[in-house]
Amino acid sequence: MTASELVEQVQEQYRGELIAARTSSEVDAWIDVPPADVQQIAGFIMDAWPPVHLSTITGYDNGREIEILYHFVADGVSLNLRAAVPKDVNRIDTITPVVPAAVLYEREIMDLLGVTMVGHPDPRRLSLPEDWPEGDYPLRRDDVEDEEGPEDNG
Amino acid sequence: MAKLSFPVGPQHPALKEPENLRFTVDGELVVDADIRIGYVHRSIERSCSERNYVQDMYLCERVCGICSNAHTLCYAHACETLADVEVPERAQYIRMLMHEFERIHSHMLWLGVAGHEIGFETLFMYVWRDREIIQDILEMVSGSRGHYAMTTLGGVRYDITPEMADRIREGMMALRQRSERYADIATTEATFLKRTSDVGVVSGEVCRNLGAVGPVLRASGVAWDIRTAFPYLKYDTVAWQVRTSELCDVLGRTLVRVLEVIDACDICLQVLDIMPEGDIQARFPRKVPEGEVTARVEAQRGEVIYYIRSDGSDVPARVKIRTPTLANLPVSLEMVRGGQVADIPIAFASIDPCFSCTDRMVVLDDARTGDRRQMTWPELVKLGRER
Repeated sequence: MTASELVEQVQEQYRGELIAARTSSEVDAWIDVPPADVQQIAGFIMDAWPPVHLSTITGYDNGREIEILYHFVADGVSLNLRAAVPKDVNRIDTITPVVPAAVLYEREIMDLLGVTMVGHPDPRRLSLPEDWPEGDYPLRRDDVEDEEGPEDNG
Repeated sequence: MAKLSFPVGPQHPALKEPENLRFTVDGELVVDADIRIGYVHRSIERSCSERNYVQDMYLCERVCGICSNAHTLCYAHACETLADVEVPERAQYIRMLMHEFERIHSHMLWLGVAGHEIGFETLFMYVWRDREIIQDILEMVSGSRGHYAMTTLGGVRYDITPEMADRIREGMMALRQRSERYADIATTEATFLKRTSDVGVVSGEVCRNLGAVGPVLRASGVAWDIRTAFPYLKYDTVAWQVRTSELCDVLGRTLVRVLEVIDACDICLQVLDIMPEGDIQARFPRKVPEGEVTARVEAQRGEVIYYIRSDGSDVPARVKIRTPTLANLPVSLEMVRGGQVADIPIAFASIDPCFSCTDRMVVLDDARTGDRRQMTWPELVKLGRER
């Protein structure tokens, strides 16, 4: 299947309105979806083209929002779903009930960007040390006033 | 009997890298396992968005000491797609050679370590002796045994001369022959079979569900390889096959890796024959047009994915890296659950874990003092034994 066919099928199955969709090649699709429906959309992608592989999840701070990008591979197409979470909302449903492979990737985003994954089964830190200050997220781009890391106990 | 929970690590529990494992055992049986990583987190992703595209190339090379070439390859591939730069054909073939050389050296390193983990030191000695062949080739081609710095934005930095090609052919023939011997040992040697067969079993379905990649996934019967799923470089011009095994255990993972070494030798021999003459570098612009891209390559441990976002300047807005070990961690815990305590090291090592990749840091200098000092060989050996 080509990327544009895949985009069409996602649009068909999804009852709501996709925010944007584009393809950059035969095997590369980018779809922007409302953050509230991300679990639902991930769910039918998993069901429609098994086996679907989740390569990773990227978090990107664009200033106003944290963009969460889910990089799937479905039926030979690299399918990138984007859900932009406004910073004042700062939470999104976990996709782990439908995509078990997302557990560590979502933990990484919670850890480094501070977006709460609602319903995550294991919301512990992943990369940062346990004594890392609460509320300090290294991949956010608006909190650079404190360049010092946590106190070095070594 | 009461269940007992105990930590292993973070000081080099089985591998020469820090990670903290927590096992819950019932007698000799492992009933649960958990892992804590992050001991080598060095914020490479963040640092990437504070340096320009060329500087990031050097940073990405240092994500991992073993699969450094796969990272630069993936990074360059992403940047070249964004900037719409066509890499000369000869450079693509040389990149392919380096990619396969790295697979050979890494799989052989792993096979030696696997021998060591099960107490089969003879195998370790032989494999690591033979691994010197590929290390010599890497040094001849790039000038370095690790961190080859061959890939550059728009091509490669060094050409392969006819004399080099002859020596590579010789080396590949020798390695091919030796690997066939190791495939034979892995399938017939009683000690090896006893320690690897039915150890660390995980089904293809579980692997798929938990997002496993690379030889781990292929050894559970799933034929998934980025080289065929999303063809890059010139893999469509050479004859090779995706190796799988239905065994789903450590033995299967060993066989897949050994067969991949043999395939890699064959790929290199073919590349040397069909590689066209020509340029090895294309011009790469200082500033990259606005956009975003993902790139995937099949590193020796599995799929590596890079996401790069450009805001039109000479510094990327975001570089996201996902290394194969992170994808394979959930499945590695499944492997030790329900097994024997004595099988933990080999089961865990069978995913070929690399925590520096996963945490994204460099393990180079003396980690305790942080200074970069020279050591004599006896000092180094002493340090190794103390650790």
